Amino acid sequence: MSTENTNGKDPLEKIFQLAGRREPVDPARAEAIEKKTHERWQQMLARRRAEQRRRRFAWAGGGLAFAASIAVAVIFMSRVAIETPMVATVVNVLGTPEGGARGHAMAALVAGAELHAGSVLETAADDGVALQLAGGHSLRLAAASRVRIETDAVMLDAGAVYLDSGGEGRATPIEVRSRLGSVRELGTQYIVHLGGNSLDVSVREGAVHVAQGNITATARAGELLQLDKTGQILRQPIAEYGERWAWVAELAPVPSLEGLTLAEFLRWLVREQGWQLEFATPELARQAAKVDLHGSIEGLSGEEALELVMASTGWRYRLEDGTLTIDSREERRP
Amino acid sequence: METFETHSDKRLVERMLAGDNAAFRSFFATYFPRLLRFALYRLHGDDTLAEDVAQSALGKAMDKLDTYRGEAALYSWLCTFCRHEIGAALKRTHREPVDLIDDLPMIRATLESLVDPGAAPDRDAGRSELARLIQVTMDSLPPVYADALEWKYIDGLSVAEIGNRLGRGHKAAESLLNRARESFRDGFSTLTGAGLDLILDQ
Repeated sequence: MSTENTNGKDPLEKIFQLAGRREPVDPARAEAIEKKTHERWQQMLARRRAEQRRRRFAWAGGGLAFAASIAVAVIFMSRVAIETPMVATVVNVLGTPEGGARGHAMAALVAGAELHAGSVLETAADDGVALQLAGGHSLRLAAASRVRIETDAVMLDAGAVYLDSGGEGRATPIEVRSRLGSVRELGTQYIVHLGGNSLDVSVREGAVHVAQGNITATARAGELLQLDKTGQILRQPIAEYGERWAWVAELAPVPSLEGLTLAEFLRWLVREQGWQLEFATPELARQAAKVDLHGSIEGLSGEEALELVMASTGWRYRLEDGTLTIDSREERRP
Repeated sequence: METFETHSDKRLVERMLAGDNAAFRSFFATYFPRLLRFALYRLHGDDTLAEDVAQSALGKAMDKLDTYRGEAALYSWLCTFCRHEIGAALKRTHREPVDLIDDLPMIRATLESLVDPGAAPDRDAGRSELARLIQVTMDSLPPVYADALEWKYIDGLSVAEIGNRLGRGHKAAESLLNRARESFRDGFSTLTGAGLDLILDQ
């Protein structure tokens, strides 16, 4: 196609000069809209990641079996309610953990189910379950584990449990008992893992007392204590965050952001992740208590939730060696 | 049918779904101004409302980004969200919709006025409407075509300079400009139902 007329001039030039340049966009307003669109994009990505993660924990039986298992769980709960005190509520499940009262058949556990003294819980290789104990503790049962819940103790038959009292004096003391010894604590977060030959206690916060017959020992925050069946004790330092605690964080009940301030969210997050929280200035800490959050972090990992929330607030942060530092408000891009 | 444009749109969306921040920035820089103008023309020039609508449309598009299959151009796909938001905004503000495609009689009058500059009393209004339609056509083109046409005909850049901006050689830039011109003519004819011949013959 020719682009020139007989005068040697490109005829399109005339109409483009008539039309002029397309209306430009005000950069400041575009920036504000870009930020909001970026947040929505990040939220969509987070939802996708959460969905992909959820798919790993597929329900074993499909819709009908799932519905049936809920019905069985409800029947199980109502039957035992009249016999023993309620000791825990299921707050989160991964996969198909099962529970059953003493002498009753096991049934799939669902969030909201109430458990009574003597209830036995079991998890398979991809399962996990989080409970809120009546005494105030958060109890999480790892994959491939089995426990019995009593009013004042958790009987660990296999696998591992995590207990979090929420801080010193906040929960009624509870003991973890196993064939290789017992663990008693006050105001702490810890994992008790029952292996074939040893009882391993990893302490994230506070201290725990471990006993096997006449042998007693104390394990403190940042320490792994291994008590073998001959009564020998080994200790080693551990990090209070990272891979060892990953399954605990994955089972953490997620709070609604509605009604939470940024400071409250950060305190919850660092406690669940085993991180330390620092603000670059006292003023930032004061400001964080005044920032109201909205939306949901359902299904997100701790780091994803952090990224999403901080993006929405426009605050900068860095996470290094288990310390989360809140720096300042984000600078505007040039 | 997948075209070169929808293929590159699809690739852009795939990169965004993989969390590529550079892809997001490219997406926003390319499509936000076009969507804003798209809304502005249909909202009686109310720029505040148009910004709200464009932002809302982009937010919803982000929510549904993984449903984009590349069957239509990304801009057309985004416009479906924008149209929905425009409809809601017009209803909310009790305004009449702006029908842009049924303006053919006006376009014809405009073209006639351009043929005989002294003959039409509504010449300025007609020119303004024609200018808007030219810009709408530009926004409907693949972004690189629209940019190349603006650089050529408004900024007065040479083919070599356009090639430099695009990172292409002289011949490739010339070929791209030719494709841009053809797309513009086709787009304008599709939009208005009229060709550019009357103007181009002047």
